Amino acid sequence: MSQNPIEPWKLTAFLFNELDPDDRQLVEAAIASDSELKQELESLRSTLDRTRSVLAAPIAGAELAPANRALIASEIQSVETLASDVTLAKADTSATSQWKWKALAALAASFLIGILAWPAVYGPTHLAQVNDTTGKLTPAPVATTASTPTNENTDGGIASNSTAAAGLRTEPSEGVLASLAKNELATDERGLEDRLSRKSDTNAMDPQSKKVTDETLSERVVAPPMGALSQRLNPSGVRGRVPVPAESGAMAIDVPAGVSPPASDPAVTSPDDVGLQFRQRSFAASNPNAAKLSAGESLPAGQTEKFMLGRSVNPELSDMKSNSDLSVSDPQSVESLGAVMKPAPAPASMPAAGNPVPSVELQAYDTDYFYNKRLKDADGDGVADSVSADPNMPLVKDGSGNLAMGATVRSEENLDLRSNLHPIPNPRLAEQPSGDRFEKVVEAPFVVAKSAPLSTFSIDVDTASYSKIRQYLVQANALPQPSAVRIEEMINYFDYTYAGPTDEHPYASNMAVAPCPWNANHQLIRIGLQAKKVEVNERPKANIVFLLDVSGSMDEPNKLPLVKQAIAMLTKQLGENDRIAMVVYAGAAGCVLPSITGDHQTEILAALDNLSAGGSTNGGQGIELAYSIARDHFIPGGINRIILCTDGDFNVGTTSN
Amino acid sequence: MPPPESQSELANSSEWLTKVFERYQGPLVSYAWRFLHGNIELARDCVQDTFLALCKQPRSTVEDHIEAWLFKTCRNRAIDYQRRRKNMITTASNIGLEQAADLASDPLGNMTQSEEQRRVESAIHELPEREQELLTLRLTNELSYKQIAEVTGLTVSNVGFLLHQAISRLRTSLAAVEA
Repeated sequence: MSQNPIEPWKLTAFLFNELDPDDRQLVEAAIASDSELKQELESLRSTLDRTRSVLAAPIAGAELAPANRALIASEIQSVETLASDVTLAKADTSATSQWKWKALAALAASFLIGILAWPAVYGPTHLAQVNDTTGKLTPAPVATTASTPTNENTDGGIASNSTAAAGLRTEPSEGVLASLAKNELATDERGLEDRLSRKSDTNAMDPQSKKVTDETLSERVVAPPMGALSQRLNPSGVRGRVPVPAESGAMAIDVPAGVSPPASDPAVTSPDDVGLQFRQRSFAASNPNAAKLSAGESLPAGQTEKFMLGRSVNPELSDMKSNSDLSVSDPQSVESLGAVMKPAPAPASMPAAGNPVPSVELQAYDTDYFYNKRLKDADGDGVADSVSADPNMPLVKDGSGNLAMGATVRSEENLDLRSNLHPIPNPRLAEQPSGDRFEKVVEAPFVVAKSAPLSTFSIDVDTASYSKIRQYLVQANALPQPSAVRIEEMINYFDYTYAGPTDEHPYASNMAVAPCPWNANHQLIRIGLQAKKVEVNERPKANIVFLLDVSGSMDEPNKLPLVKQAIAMLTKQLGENDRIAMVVYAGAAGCVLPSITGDHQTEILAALDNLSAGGSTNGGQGIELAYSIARDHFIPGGINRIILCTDGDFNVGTTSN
Repeated sequence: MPPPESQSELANSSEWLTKVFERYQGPLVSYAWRFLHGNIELARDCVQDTFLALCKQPRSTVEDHIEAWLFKTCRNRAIDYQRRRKNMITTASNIGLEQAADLASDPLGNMTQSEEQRRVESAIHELPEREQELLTLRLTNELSYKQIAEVTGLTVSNVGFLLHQAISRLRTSLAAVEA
């Protein structure tokens, strides 16, 4: 072999077909002339083949479990959503789709158009010209329904609002949606009749009232959340209408587009409408700076649209569509409304005299009424009823006492939370900021106390929802999912310093009755309970097993590190009579701290320090291990607890959910 | 092992991801399984993490070397897990969990194997771990020397050398057994 220039590893590389052509030729030549080398090569080849036959054989079960697959599939799915947005955004180079960039300027543009007193807008083509003139809008791929403020069919209260709103049109920065909504009411009732009467008339060029009455319109009628939302979008009383694909269950989405003179009401549906939904989304995603646009002008509309788009896939809203009895004020819809109100300029800045809408809260009430009224009209009741400026009246008048009240309670509480909402930077965020899932909140119905006098509750309170919502609002700048909002936790979050029990009873109660501020016929009862406080030195011995989720999803600053901090704090309160153990689980479970007494502070803290997160979540296995440890060190009469710290999703192994 | 499709054919990222996933999940689990000495749960975790990481990765940054990227990412996760496991005082065996899991998932012990397979398997098993890994990458997953180098951080010539060494050792030990 000494005269052999071929390095041994090259033989293997040759067998693996990894040699470059020159070396390959060298090896081939050497083999041809050197039988010893050839033998060596064949012996290597034989070993290699045997090894390959073992290693290349498929291993049964060497693939992902269904749970892994599902998780990855959903992740891929979410990538698709993002990707299609991006693709659309990139592909949108046509003049029409520049709308994406201009959508938020639409309100401003419509104001300007109003000032210019453009004679009329008869369709998208003309609209495009208007927009070009203002330099603020490109042709919108939307159906435009231009309607005008009018006092017809409404009583004086509305008339005055209409006037106030009309005045606003030259003063966009002072736009107040409160009165605008009413303004819209006035115009819209008229428009609604129009639409209904012309439902079968598809001639867009009808000279009296240029309008395409399509399904969208009728959908809109039975879709109060969206319908009412759209009311708020456009201070000038002019809307572009975007029909959303039917499968989304969404309703017409109004976007500001242009102005038309009285008695002309053109609506044209563009074939591109469907696309807008995506463009809007990509706008939201790709334009974090949108918020820098002047408020009061384009911004409110943009925000609102984004919000609605986010909501349009909400099945609960879709369901509303089929709900014929919409005088039921669904808390969902009230929430939606409240959310939409926020981007609007503060009502306090409203300069219009004689405006009977003094506060944001009243808007919510009016809006409730708004639905009812609009729906009644939609049902063919005909001419609009007179509208009272008294926000309390509609609830009483409509006779939907209980339901309306329930909704109002909710909206009022939520309003405070919403008062400083910022634009939602990414609509996805509003849907699911961190993959959190919540049980749907089912509001308990009113019951007759006489027939159901018993109520049970636990004497400790959960408060997580408050923090969660604060996190949504403050950190994610997004509205929480409705199901994340637990009203009672909003209340229970705070310490009311009620006096505790002084007698043998486990709790003391603190009650008060007051007249209901929004319904003179109702009384509100507050029941405060304070459980007995247990002094630290009275605490029984504790046997605590922490079961810590250290799966990959816990690897965020507000998860595992927070848990570690919390356990460290708890550890300081443990003494020599207490026991603590720690079990971790991810893909598999293990004990990181065998049960030891609380005076071993150093060991406990060291074990804590060693924790890190990664992997999937096999909760079931960990629970079994934790139970076995807890059982082994059971303290009769003591506090024996397994404390599970997790972000909630068991994706491998035994689960009940 | 060519990439599943060229990028022009798959404009849609999720389609591409799905193809990549279907193409590589099995091989990756096999690889991680060996790497983690037969712990199938951990192997699946690693592979799951790998694909979740892939979803967060801009496609353009990984597409041209997707295979090596996947194996490398998976390998890094597996190393992480191994490190973490050393920190765990596993008492799970007390209640039989660990043992049960290992028995059920041991690719060596649980398979019906021919005498030849068992012999070669055990010879492979005696190799240094690094050489076992290279053999797996090459023979199970058909990665090129260059790709293996990228996955493992070795140089290409080092990969060639170690693979040769592995095959030579196998030849020796198999010959010894059969003698």
